[in-house]
Amino acid sequence: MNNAISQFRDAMRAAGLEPPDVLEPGKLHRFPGAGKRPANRAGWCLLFDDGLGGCFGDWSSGFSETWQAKRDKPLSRAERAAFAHRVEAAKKQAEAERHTRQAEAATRAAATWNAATPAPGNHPYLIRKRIRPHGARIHKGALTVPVMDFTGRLTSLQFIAADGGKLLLSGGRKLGCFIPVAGDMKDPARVILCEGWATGCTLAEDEPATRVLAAIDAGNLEPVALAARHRWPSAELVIAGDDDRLTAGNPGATTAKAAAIASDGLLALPQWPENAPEHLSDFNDLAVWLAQQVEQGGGV
Amino acid sequence: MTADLLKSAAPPPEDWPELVPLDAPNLPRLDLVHLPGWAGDYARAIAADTETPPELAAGMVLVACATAATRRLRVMVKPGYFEPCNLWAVAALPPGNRKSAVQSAATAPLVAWERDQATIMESEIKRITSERKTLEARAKEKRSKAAKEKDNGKAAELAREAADIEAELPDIPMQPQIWTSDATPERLGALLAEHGECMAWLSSEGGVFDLLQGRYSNGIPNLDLVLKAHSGDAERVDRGSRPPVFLKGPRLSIGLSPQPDVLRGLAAKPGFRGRGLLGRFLYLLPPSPLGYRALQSNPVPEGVRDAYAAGLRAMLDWEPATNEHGGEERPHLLRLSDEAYAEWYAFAQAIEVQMQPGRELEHFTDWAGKAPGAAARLAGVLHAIKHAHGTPWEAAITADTMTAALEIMAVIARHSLAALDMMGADPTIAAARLVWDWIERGRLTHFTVREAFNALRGTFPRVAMLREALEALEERGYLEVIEPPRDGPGRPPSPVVRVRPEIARGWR
Repeated sequence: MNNAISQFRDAMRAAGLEPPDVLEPGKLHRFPGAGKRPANRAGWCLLFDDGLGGCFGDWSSGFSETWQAKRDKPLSRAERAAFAHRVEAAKKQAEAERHTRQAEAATRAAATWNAATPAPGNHPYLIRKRIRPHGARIHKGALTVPVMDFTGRLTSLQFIAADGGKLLLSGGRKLGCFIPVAGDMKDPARVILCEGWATGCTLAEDEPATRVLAAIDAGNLEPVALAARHRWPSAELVIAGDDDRLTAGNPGATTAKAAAIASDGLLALPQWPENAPEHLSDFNDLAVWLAQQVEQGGGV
Repeated sequence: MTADLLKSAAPPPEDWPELVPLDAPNLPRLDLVHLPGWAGDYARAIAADTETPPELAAGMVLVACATAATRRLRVMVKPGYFEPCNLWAVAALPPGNRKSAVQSAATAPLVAWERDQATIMESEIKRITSERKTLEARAKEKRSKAAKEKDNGKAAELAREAADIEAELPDIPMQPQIWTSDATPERLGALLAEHGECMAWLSSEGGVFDLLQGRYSNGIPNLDLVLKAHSGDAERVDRGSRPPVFLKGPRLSIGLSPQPDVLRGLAAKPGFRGRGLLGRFLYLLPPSPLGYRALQSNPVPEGVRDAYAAGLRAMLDWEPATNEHGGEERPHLLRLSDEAYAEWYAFAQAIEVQMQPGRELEHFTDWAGKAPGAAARLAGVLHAIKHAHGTPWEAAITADTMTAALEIMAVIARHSLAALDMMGADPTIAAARLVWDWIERGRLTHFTVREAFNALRGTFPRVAMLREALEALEERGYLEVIEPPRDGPGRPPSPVVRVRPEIARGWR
């Protein structure tokens, strides 16, 4: 059995997941998703109790894979069917756990959100980002913004500390969900979709009449863009991407372009003035830098 | 004050192939340099005057010249293989493209010739008409006397005399006619019989196809005569109250300039494709210049107009050949030079190979099978134009003339394949059009292959057939099929189809 556990761990590592220290056959385990913090529980795995196979995945990316122990002879048709049945059952179990976890997170999110107080305009993060609160609230000193799905349900919360550190409510649903920054959900003519909430606030202040959504991160841009297109088929959808110029592959611009293509939207990336520093990457960075230039009496 | 941060918002750059329309792909243009002398000059001048595509003028001028040429000439490609010089051409253009003006200009000398012939024959027609009336009156008188005569012997004698007179009644010559624009196939047979077995059917509309489909014969297509009149095969023609006649070698030229919409779906008309009607036409699908015209007329120079009229008139005035006994008229034979034959043979071979399964002409064998013959006819017409004022049958068709004919055929071949595509001849393109119609109706920017299959199951019983149609649309840049990555065992999700962004944006 130890050999099977070792092979199962290797398969998970090969897929980019770090398996938990203890792996008990027959039990569904949860652990941090790929590249996530230690508290994250998006990764999941189940080694079958006979050690002959198992499956694992990552809820945050939707990835899942099956594993089979090495065998001397191939599986018979009946064994293949039994294996497929076990995989299906394991996936269902993982899926059910995920739904339960998300439902619990949504309940906690609602309670936290209802107890939170409106954010003051002088919150250090708002001051540094030169943005207004846009309906954000305060929970334990952190700016708190809602994460919603397109049916209008609150699914999670994002907490933004004064230093800009961000946390999502543990277990909350994020994929395809968004932070509503500004504007009305009812038949908007133009919808702006960006990654972060602060960027969304900047764009909402630049275009006050427009519906603005924040997808939380680059990986969620395309799912939200597709859902937005489905919800508002005739709206002009603008994907306002980050321009991660100093990061290999420029993930911000790349995912924004993919989202724009997939959703038949327009793509907008920050247009950097010649003297803008290279570490700036999003529209909020650009707006803040432009304002500073004006205050300092310099042109751009 | 806003900083207009999103002013750069634009469709994301993508590498889509150039859009190749299903109905009119980017087709080569016809260079009028291949149309010799006065005919080429006139076609260029009409195109400039009417601001129409040169293909339209070329098509109509060629048919007008073929109408004249085929009365007196036929091409001997090789011993035992002959082609008449009549041509069937279709130049399709949307409405408002002055097609009638071009057709009228191209056929003006035919109209003038008919009028002149009518004038020349007028006194003769009057004389014979008068003579016939007199004889008819005499016959009537004899018959009347016979009826009153009490002596049976005398009555029989008078009746015989009346019959003799009626048997000798002279036929009143018909006013010569060489073209028509609106005739049923039945009437066309009579016209061919009455006018030397040569006739042109010219129209700037597509009504000819309705007539062929049986508009006036309860929807029963009557194609026999026109099909035989393309190849010059003998046919029996009933002429209503008059005795039927046998046409020994009817030669019909057709010049049509319908709207492209008329062509759509023609392949599905009973008999049109299967019996080879559509495969006999030479098609031209020039782009419409509407919206890009200077709207400044450059009238056809008088000299060019006169030269065209004189050339065509000279062709119409050629004397026919007669058999060795000096009696029966027949067309002169045009021979190919050895070099011209070699050129033609190479073309015929190239066409032959392309008809193999999987090759370009696989679905167009009805057209391709007749293409070498059409090339020979075209060479005959070009040769006739060159020698209009002389005796073309005394000179062999040269390699230069054959090369010009093949250059024209090369362009016509591309256009004809596109036209047959448009008619639904290529099953893949026809299927692609069906799928595209479904996409367009629903303005579907994204959908899965499974969704398309469920919606179109009646037309495509298997997914593979649907995929073939989608591939054709993908090749033409209408859409892309995105295969999902495989995620473990089990059935993968259905591929997603994404419509070309600018088309999708246009729908919104």
